[in-house]
Amino acid sequence: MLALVVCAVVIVWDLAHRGLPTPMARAVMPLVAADFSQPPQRKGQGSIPMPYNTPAAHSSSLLALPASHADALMAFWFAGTRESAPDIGIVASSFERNLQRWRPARFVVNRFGLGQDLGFGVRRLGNPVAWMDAQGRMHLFVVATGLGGWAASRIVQLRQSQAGQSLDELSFEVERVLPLSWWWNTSFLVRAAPLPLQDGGMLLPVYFELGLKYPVSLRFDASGGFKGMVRMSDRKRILQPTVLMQTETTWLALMRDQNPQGHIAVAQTQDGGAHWQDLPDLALVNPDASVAAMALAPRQLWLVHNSSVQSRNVLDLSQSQDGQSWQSMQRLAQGKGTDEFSYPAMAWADDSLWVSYTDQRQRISWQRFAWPKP
Amino acid sequence: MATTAMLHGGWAIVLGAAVYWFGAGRRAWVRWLVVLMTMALCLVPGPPSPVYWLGLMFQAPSLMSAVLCLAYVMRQGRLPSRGRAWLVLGVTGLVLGGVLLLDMLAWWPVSVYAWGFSTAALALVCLVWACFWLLWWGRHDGLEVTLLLAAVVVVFVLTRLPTGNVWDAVLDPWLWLVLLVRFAMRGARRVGRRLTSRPGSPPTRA
Repeated sequence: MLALVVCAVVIVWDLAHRGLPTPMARAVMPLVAADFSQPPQRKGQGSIPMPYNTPAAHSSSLLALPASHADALMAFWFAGTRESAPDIGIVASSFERNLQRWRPARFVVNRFGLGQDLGFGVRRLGNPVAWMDAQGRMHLFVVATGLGGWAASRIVQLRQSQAGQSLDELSFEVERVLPLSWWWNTSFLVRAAPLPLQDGGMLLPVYFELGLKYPVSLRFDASGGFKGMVRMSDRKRILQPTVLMQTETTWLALMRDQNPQGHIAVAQTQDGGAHWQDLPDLALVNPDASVAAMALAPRQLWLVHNSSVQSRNVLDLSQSQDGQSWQSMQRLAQGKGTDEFSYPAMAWADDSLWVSYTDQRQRISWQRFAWPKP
Repeated sequence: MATTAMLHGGWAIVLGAAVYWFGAGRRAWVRWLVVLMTMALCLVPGPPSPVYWLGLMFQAPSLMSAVLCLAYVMRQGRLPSRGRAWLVLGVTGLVLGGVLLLDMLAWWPVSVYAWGFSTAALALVCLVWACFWLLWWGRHDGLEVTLLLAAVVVVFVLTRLPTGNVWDAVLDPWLWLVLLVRFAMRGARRVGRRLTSRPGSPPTRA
């Protein structure tokens, strides 16, 4: 009897200190005023400046900044002498509203400082993904590997320190290593942008890739507290999910597929990410490459993807109303042979759709699109 | 802060116990000196510390490993008494580790690891704890296991260490591998005994 009473006390204590249960997730549609019956107009393009003497760049992430900020959006990517090199760090640059140009890029995270903060070593860094919480603090999710390659990765959540809001003052402190697997917390990676939720929190799509590959969604509250995880697919060869809102609680996840057929894999949730079902692949071809997707308005779904079966040398912007049938709207980049334009990211800022992508693994290029006002 | 303390403190205890075990047969003061030096080294920040490299590969040990190793060192290397309670606890850990490993490989329709963040999973661990308490409290091994589980559950509920997931608190892959090896050796010994005692097999030499 005493044993049961003690257990009951422990469970009641636990419940009392956990806070309220997490409510059903409801996504937020961006407030976009645009006439989507017109094709998008390209308003600008170029390459984001690289830090001095840094020849390699990959995997960018875009973050729209508040209207009160001097800059419209911030870009993060990883850069160094080559992918997985010891000197790879996370780089940031931001787009000045006044001068309509990118600020000089600077390193904001390196593996030595991160290892010092974590208390243990980090062998390599990659795939930064940025998010702004309800208090206006930036969070940066980065892939940090242990012993081994990318399959030995963990996801580290960093939070903007109170130093300042400008790019020059931007610095991050470790919030936590996200606990995602029991086996020494390997092998989870992050790549795509989070889906903002009405409660101020967000849903972060991540993926597992040790041997087999499957997508998982992570739920965060308004201050960036980790609230749980849900597997998004029963399939074992899909990765790098990007989540696309259809309604408040019905979302699609579009994913890179390692099968040789070369299509984009799809899963859907109709209950705010509590459960996911696999859907048939999209008809769009894809060369086992990361995609980025974003809903700009109801039935205005936009996707940036490599549109060749074999190569990453073609990058397109496509549009859909239902998430199933897609129409190509713009060719963003086209090369030959082994040219690579890959790992796209999207954000809506200053009445424009911004797209960034890896350009030849040497730089991050960007393009900006706008529509006429309705 | 608590996570860093668990990382350094947990590995200090586990490595201290390992060094104590390896030092069997040495003079007591030499053995303790090496243990204390090892533990002190674990508390040093940065690359000189073994924790910097162990954390890189294995993160923090579980509360269960830390408490077991602490008990081992405090009892001056005396292993727990043999008994059914320890056997059942070991089998439970072995099964749980197998379930979690297969969960990581997406074998199950629901994520067992994700469930470890919930109060329901903690309630299950408490239920197991209560079963040991009710069934074997009067026995020495039952008392040991009940107190061990009590320490792990209470520290987890108060601190959420090491990750906030109850499975990470009660079992880590190293502990599971140790259990696996011990049970495999036990099984091999049993099979060996059966083979040698089978009628018609040559008699064993005394």
